[in-house]
Amino acid sequence: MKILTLQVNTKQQVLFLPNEKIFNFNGMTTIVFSNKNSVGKTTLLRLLMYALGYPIPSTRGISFSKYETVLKICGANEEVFLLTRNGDYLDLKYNGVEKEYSLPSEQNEIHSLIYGTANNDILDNLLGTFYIDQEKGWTLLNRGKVIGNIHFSIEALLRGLSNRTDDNLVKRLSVIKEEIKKYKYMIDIAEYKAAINKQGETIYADSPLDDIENALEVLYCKRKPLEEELNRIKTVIRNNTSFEKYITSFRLRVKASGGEEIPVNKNTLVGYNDNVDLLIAKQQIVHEQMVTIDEQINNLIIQQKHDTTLFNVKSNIELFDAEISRIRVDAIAIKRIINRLEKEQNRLEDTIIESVKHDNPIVSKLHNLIIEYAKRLDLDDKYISMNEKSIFTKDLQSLSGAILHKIVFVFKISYIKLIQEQININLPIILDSPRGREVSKEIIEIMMKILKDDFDDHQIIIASIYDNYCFDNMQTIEIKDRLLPF
Amino acid sequence: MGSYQWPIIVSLCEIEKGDSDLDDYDDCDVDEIIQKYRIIINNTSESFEFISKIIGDYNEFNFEMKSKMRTKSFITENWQNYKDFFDFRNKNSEIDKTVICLTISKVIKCRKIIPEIKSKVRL
Repeated sequence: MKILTLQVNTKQQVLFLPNEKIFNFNGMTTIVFSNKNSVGKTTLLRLLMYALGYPIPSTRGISFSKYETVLKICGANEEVFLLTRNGDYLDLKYNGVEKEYSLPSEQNEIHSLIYGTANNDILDNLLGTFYIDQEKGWTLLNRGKVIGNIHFSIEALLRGLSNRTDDNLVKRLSVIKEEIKKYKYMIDIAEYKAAINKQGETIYADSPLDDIENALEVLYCKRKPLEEELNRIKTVIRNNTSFEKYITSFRLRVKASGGEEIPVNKNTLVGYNDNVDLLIAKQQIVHEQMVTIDEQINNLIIQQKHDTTLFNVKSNIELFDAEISRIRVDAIAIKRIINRLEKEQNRLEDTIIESVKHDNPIVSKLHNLIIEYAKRLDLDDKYISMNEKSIFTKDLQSLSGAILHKIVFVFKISYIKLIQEQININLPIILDSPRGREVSKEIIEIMMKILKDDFDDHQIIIASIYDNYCFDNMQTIEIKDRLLPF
Repeated sequence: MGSYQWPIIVSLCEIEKGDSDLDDYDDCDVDEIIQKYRIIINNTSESFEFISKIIGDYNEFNFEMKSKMRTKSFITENWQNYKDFFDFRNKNSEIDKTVICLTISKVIKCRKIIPEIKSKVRL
């Protein structure tokens, strides 16, 4: 892969100032030079990586998201790609195709086209092999942070290169990680809830609107049987009236013991009017009970409308607190679950890491490359052991600055060589301030000679305050006062 | 005659667990039956057709007996005569019997309460 040009456009145009700046790398070995520090060499290298789609933190004074970057590169299979990045959006043009991507979620999709591999283990770890940032880069050997939150892991890289990715294990691991993340959010909620309670703000647990809603529900429940009873009584009255009318319709007359003739109707039917009065009284009692409940319901509805208007004025934070107070979270149980999941996560990670180390020819290849370059840099067995597994070392504490600097360089170029051999892509080698620390001029010369001899097919980009590097086909981008004119 | 007497009468005429006049039943069971069959008991006991029949039969039944005893025997001896007024879905004869007895009892109870309260109010 070779970087051809980087164009930086400002989004806020200022009169009489140019609104774009183009840096030509031309696919050549390039020295980004300035004779003093803090003028923007590191920023330019970071801008390159940012333009490539990586989540690179801005340097002091320059916020990358304020600019549009247009990066032209020659990627896998000599294909030319044009990447236009605006914050979290990246527009990719290649071979007549134009596609838009959102970052960081689709980062690997873009990189799979550029680097010519779809293996996520490789894609996730490429930046750590070819880009050495001035801050963390020169101490990153086999695992850790490349820059910002971009991680590098030798095990993951080798897993990808040797196609040993165990999908089931990786899937299970990512499920566990997701679960842990969610449970941790739950703990956060539990803590937030505890904080609300501590501040005595539990009044939000049941807002006045909730109280009204609950009271209304109770009243509707009370009203329903009354309504049914009222309808029932009405039906009984109707039936009794029909019965009475039926009897009366016969116009029957009965004779009393005194000989008096009495017509049969509702006034002479013994007990009829009493029953009517009883039912009407009953109907009235139920009706009154219903009227009382209806009044209460109407008052609550009026209050509800009023409170809704008031409540809308309340701040989002109060609404949020009210919602949170309603959630039931058992913090102790969740902590126990998190502990269990974290143990499983560690166990799975160990399994995944260990699976790379055993009987893997790629490990031997990398080890051999490291041994070869270490020899050329005069690093003896004390630092680079003949044991293959030494490449997975975790012991960097004992190494002095200059030695670590050399070992990091050896590891990085070995990774790049291995990647070139395995997936056939010539990664660029981007070094920020290789002459830092207590590294002698002689060592730098050997390092540069190795690059010149063994990596002439790779584009080398070096940011430095020295311009006496000597490569064939080399150019210099000199930064004078400031990197960008706007 | 004031209308305030009727709410009192309504309240006194409400069916209660002691109204079944059945010795074999636990009060709790009767209470449960009242809750469950309140609508049937009320509908039937408030139907004038049913009331007429009960009161007519009751008036001709052993009027020489003491009131409480008379009601109890009337119910025990006659409850089966009124089965047609009830449309029972379940076939539990014990429950049916209790519902019928409670309904009859309620009618007789109201028949006594109404004139009693009315006459007291007049005084």
